[in-house]
Amino acid sequence: MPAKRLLIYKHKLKSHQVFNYYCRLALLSILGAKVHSILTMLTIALGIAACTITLTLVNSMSSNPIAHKSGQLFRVQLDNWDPNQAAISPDLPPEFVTWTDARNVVQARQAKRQSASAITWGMVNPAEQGLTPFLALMRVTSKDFFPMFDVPFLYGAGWDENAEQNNDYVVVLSKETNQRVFHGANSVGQTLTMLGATFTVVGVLNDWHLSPKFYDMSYGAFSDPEEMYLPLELKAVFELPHGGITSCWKAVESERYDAFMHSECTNFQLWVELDNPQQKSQFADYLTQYVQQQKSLGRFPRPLNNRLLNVAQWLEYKQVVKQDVQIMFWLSIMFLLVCLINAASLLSAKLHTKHSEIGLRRALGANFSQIVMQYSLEVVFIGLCGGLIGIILALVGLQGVASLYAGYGRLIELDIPIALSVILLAVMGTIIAGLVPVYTACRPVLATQLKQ
Amino acid sequence: MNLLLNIGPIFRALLQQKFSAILVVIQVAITMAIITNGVAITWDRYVHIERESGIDEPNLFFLTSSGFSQDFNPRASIEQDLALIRGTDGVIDALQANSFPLSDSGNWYEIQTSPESSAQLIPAASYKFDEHGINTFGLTLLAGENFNQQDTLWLEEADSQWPSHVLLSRATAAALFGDQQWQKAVGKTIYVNHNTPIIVKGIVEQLYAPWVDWAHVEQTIISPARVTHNSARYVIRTQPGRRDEIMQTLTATLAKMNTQRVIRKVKSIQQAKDEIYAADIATVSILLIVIIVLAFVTAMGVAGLASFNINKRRQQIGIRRALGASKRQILHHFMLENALLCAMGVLLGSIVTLGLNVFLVSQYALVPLPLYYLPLGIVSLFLISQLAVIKPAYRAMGVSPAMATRSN
Repeated sequence: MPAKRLLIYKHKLKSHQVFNYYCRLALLSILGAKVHSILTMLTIALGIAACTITLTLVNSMSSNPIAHKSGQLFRVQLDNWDPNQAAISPDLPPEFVTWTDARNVVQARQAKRQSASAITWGMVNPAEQGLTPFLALMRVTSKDFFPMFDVPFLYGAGWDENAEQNNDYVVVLSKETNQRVFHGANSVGQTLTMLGATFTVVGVLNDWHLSPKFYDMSYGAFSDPEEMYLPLELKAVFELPHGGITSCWKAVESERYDAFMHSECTNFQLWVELDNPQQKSQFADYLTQYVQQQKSLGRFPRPLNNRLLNVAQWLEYKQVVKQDVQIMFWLSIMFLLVCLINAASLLSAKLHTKHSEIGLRRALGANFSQIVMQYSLEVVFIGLCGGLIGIILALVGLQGVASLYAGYGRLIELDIPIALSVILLAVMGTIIAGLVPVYTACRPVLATQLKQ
Repeated sequence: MNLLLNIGPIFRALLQQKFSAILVVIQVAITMAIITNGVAITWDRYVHIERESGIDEPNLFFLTSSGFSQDFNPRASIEQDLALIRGTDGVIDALQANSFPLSDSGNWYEIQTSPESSAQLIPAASYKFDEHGINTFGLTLLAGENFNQQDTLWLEEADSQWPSHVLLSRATAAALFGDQQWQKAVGKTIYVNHNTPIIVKGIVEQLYAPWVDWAHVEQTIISPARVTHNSARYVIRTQPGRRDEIMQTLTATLAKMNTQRVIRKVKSIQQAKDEIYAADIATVSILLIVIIVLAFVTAMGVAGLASFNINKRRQQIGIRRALGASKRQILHHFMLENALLCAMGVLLGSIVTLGLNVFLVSQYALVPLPLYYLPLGIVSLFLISQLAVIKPAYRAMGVSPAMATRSN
């Protein structure tokens, strides 16, 4: 049967018909050895799934959530630590700054934008809205926080400079909190009873879940954003608790709240926005000058050690990608390799049984490239099917992985480009490995093959 | 001896199909590298998760009561709540605590044996538990005695006073007074914040700091202080098996009893532990699955190749059988062929395993692979591949000598 067709195509068939014919041959060959084909596909699928899952993990953990501004946003670190011991060994400054430095740097306005912020909490009592009181996680911060991190607003906007100077009781709600208290309505201008006072809502955020939450990772790189935002100065007005991470190297002088605020305890995240290297060097000069001035006031006993890290550098320094995940990534690459080798050896075993068929085709006039073409189609088909099954396996696997990394759930989603590139890699690998036996199959003397 | 004599012909037979033989060898080698390193990492994480924090983890849960109205009286509310909780059927004991193992938040202080600045500073996590601490957490008192009611010091929120007596964990006592002399700490005066003297009243066997990854996780200090705070955290120990049930009923009862506060963050210690170790648990689970699937894939590969080889050589086998080879010799031939491939595989595999380990250690904070993992890896790969080849080899045994006369 095949022999007859082959003779015909030499004279009449057009190239797409030849292609169709090869496709049919490949399909017949795959269906002819079902168990073998399924096994091969499954092997490729497992390797692709493992690779896709770990690549997705690495990718989602190492993503830079503000890539377009990553080079303009800088984390400010100042070394106000113990003269005898570095804050972070061997000689790194603390990651946070004190209340004093946070306010001084923000008020100096030496950068394009600057914001200091910290996590705190307090009771919200929306009695007017007829709701039971709840404890809300809050962020005290400066007005620049919203524009510098491109925080999206659903209603209203952040507070202005006046509100900051007059210590107005203003609040920005997250979308979720607005849903909870105001049922999602435009609540700008509404009042809300909280912290024992009456606050005015000035803005409501749209969905905003940066991950990693690079601007404040003290509750974990993938923690949820706070439920509301208040002006920085209100922290002292309401004597709000110190959330996040507080570190002190010197005992606080007294038990009063303002003693803590004037202490060398660090708790605030300080960020600045600088548009170009020139602005950066100017700001660095300002910081040097600031620390020198504080030294003359008896603070900053350690040598000058300011650090300005941009977002990418900061994420790298904080090692947001769990090392385990990176290790698993390397292991999964090797896993894929084993799977491809396995698939190749299965394919080569199958091809060995076809030596006589190949011999027959060659005897009837098919040349090397035509035979390679025909078997490549089979390999590509098996590789693609394996890839498809692999993606399904990866989807299922990612569900499982997401439940294991409970705190990361939101960000673990299949990334199509990653999946496609892994499939491409796998198919190419299978073709290369699968074609070695095709080559050897084409080489031997015709007569022996025909005889078999 | 006979068996070994066969190696020559088998080896030459393998050379006839270099490509597939090389594939198997590489596959075995990489599999060994992944499995050996994977098992080592998995075991390391497992040991990390299963460390004893010193408390009765399965039977503890905690909750927070937050008062919100102006006339909320924290101290009265705490006393009232604790009386109710302790009186609940199935509750062994309960207390108000600032922090506890696996809570991931708390303070630590530096303590020393003398107020001189030359004395070595020992970091220790600070717990504020009163005399109910030992019974609530199920701690073991090794020396000295527990607090009594008079020791308890009531503090205001921002008050940083220290009570006159404290308990130490054994590791803290050992760090202060030396590994062999930790018992001597009882009755001694130690100093907190450089100059606040306190007397060691007793030593408990094991009590972890709140942060599991802290470098000094075993060093803790318990002071019988209670802080009146609008938010109070209660830790409750129940009789075995009744935790979940009591967690539900008690939360409801407390919420109903006093409407000037909300009850929140109700969680068992087990849940808290699972969350803290989530990444490690994920690593262990994923690696275990990878190891099992990989072992399976490699076994299938080895079996597939063997059965292909056997199919191809049915006539040869028939000839050997016709010439007098026993069924057992045929079985041995294929087992030995497999063992030979596997031996080359594990030889290469040992190098790949160590290479991978050196790479991982240099890139990540990983401990070097203990060398006894290497023979473990070799043995398991041999087992996998020999098991995989048994079925096809049995089929080869069944080839009749009559095959010699047929052409396939």
